[in-house]
Formats: sequence, structure tokens, C-alpha cells
Amino acid sequence: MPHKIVVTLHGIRTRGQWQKQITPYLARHGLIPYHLDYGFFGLLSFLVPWARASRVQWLRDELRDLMDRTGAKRVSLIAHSFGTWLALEVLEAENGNIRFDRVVLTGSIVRRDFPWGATLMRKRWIQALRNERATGDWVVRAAELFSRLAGPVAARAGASGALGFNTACPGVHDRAVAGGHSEVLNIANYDKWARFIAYPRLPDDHLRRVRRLVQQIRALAAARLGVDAALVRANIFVPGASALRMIPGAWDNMHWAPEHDIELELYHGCTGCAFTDGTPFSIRRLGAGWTAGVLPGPEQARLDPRLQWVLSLPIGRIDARDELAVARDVVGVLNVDGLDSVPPLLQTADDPTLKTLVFALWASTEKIRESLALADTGEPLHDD
Amino acid sequence: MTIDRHATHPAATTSPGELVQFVFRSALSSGLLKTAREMLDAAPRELAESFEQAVRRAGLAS
Repeated sequence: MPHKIVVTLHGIRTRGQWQKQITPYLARHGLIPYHLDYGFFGLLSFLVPWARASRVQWLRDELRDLMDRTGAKRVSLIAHSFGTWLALEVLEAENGNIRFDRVVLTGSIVRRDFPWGATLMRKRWIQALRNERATGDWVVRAAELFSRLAGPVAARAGASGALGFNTACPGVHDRAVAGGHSEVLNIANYDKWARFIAYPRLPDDHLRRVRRLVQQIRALAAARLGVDAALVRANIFVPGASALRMIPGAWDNMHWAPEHDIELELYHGCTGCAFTDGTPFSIRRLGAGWTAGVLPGPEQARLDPRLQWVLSLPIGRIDARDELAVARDVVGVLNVDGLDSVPPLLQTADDPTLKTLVFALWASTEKIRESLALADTGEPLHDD
Repeated sequence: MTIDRHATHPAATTSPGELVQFVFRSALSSGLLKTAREMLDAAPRELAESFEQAVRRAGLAS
């Protein structure tokens, strides 16, 4: 999993001291900081359309240059105040040519009716957003007022840094604190932002718990399937920018390195089916190879040649309100798989013992779901 | 590959080839839940708690 680049962008009437302070927090989570500085930008400049437009163009150029030089398809972003407005203006102006990975807005003056669900999340212009707001932030309220009063010449600004966005949307995480415009730049938040951006790479607290549960599920599966635990493995796939990928380190007994880089899409293999449908799936190898079309060729070539079977359990809220029990809000897939031979129990799909075991393993993923959901928002583990 | 997941709504369905989808009715038999708990008897407490948490949240606890 490549290291992520994190662009930081300051606001008006400042040169962004916080950008220097946050560097070690980003580095601690394996992130590469890239601090942008457009100089001191005064309040009067903010009121002048061409001055704003020149900064939007500057940011477009900077981001294109950065992505060209690094080869990154997406970068993550932490922006404050006017920086939030600039970033979202660029995103809309680029119409998908520049995409962000995970974004933290602090003291945001982005308009409150910004169409997160309709445009960005569905088109995947942004993977996930954390909006860090301060309820007593008068600066962002003033920006909204100015935007209303000044009509067409005004920036399309809003008080999302105080009041939040109008519509809830999966992938948009809202965090509110009491205080003013700079309160959100509290150093206590830096580690959470770094965790949020680093996801799906897990921070130590979540990784320890997830790995422990993965080990326990693997051991339970091996014991109940009656096979040597050394031949059973476990891993977790979660969605990234364009594919399902394994979470580094959240695995057990996975020693075939090429598998660590497997990328799967919806309905690809057992894992893709479980993720898409929210129900457990199993697959077993029949004869010399896997059925053609189950996985794309390059991904199939990465598989351990000894792999014989996979059981994929969707990690989500098991919901039994309708006729069928399915996982909702699926955050990933836990795979338990095995080498060398297929256990007899897995060869009899209608065996009640197998069905019961699959359910027991599936429901046992709940605490993993809890950890992944927390890690996805940048929050630490609370009860461990 | 097509999967006829709603064909009969059995407790588990098989699909063509070696790919199998497990579909569970919401009205799980009490026997299944009881046996699943027994399977977790010897498991670490954390895993059993994880199972119970999921079952409670799903409204399946009995």
C-alpha cells in the first residue's frame, strides 16, 4: 500500500503555523506532508473576485504539478478556512480531473448545501470527509453573511465550519466542538486527522484488537473445520480509492507476499461477492484451477498456488429486520481460507453444521466492524 | 456469473460451480443460535462477546 501524500492549506490572514506543527503527527502514521503556502491573503483580497480566482488557479497548478511529479492519482488534504473554499472550488472546476483521497476541513467556509452525496461521493471525487467545526465560529458565519449580501460577486461561501453541512451523507463525518475559528486547529486533533487520513492503514490500538480477533476467528474456524491451523489463514479486505485491498497487518498466517497486493472489484471472487451482497460466500477450488472469470487474471496470478478454499464474511451491521439477515453498511470482508485441501465440511454446503459455523464466524466479526468504523473516522479505541 | 440468491430463501443456498452463497432467514431457528453459541464456548471471551453483540444488535437474541 503506497504512502499517502497529505496537502495542507492555510486560511486568510495567516501563514499557517499549524501546518508545521502537524508534520510529526502525519509522519507517525506513515503520511507524507506537503505544505502549500499562497502567502498572506488579507480580508480585502477575499472580497475581490479576481484575487480569489487567481488563488484557485494557483492551487490547480500546484496540485497538477504535485500529482505529475509523484505519480499519485489522489492526494489527501487538510485545509483551514479559506483553504477549504479553495480546495472545493478546485474540485468542482476540475470536474473529476483532480480527485482527493481523504479530506479534513477545519473552520470551513464551504457553502452548507454543498452536494456531497449527489456529486462528490457518488463520483468518488473524494473518498471520505471529516468536517471539524466550532459552534462559536463567527468568522465562518460572517463569510456566509457576506456571500448572501454581496450576491453574484461574492464567494459561494457558507458557515459549514460552525453549523455543519445541510445533508448527511455516508463518508461525511461531522465533528463539533465549542469555541471559535481557531479552536478546531487544536493540537489535540492532529493525531485524529492523521489516523483518519491514514485509513485503511490501522493505527496501533485498532490494529492490535483487529489482529487479535482475526487470530481468534481463524483458530475457531480451523478447530471446527477439523483442519490443521497451520493451513488456515485470515485477512481483511476493505474498499479503497478504486478497489478492495487487504489491510496491512490485519491478517494472520498470510505468508505469500504477492497476495498482499491483490486488488478486487465488486463481485470479484468470493470477497467481492460478500462485500457487494452483504452475505457470506465460500469458494473452493475444483481440480487444477479456479473457475475462469472468478478473479481477473492478474489478481488470480497473485494467489498462493496452495490455496484451496475461501470463506468470505462481510463485515457490517447484521440486520434481521427483513426476511433475510444481511450485513448493512459493509466496511470490509473477513476472509478465512485454507491451503492444500478442502475440509470435508466445506464440500457439503447444505450441512447444518456448516451453516451454523458460518453464522457463528460471521456474527463474531462485530467487534472488528466496530474498530473499522471508528478507525474510518479517525477516532481511537475507547474500550480496550 | 449469476447467483440466484432469492430463489427459495432457504437457510443456505448453493450457486453454480464452486461458489456458494450463505443466506440466512431473519427468523433463525433457535437451534442454530444455540449451536452457534456452543461453538463459541471454548473461544476467547472477547470473541463470544463480539458474537453476542452482533446478535443483540440484529434483534436475534433469545
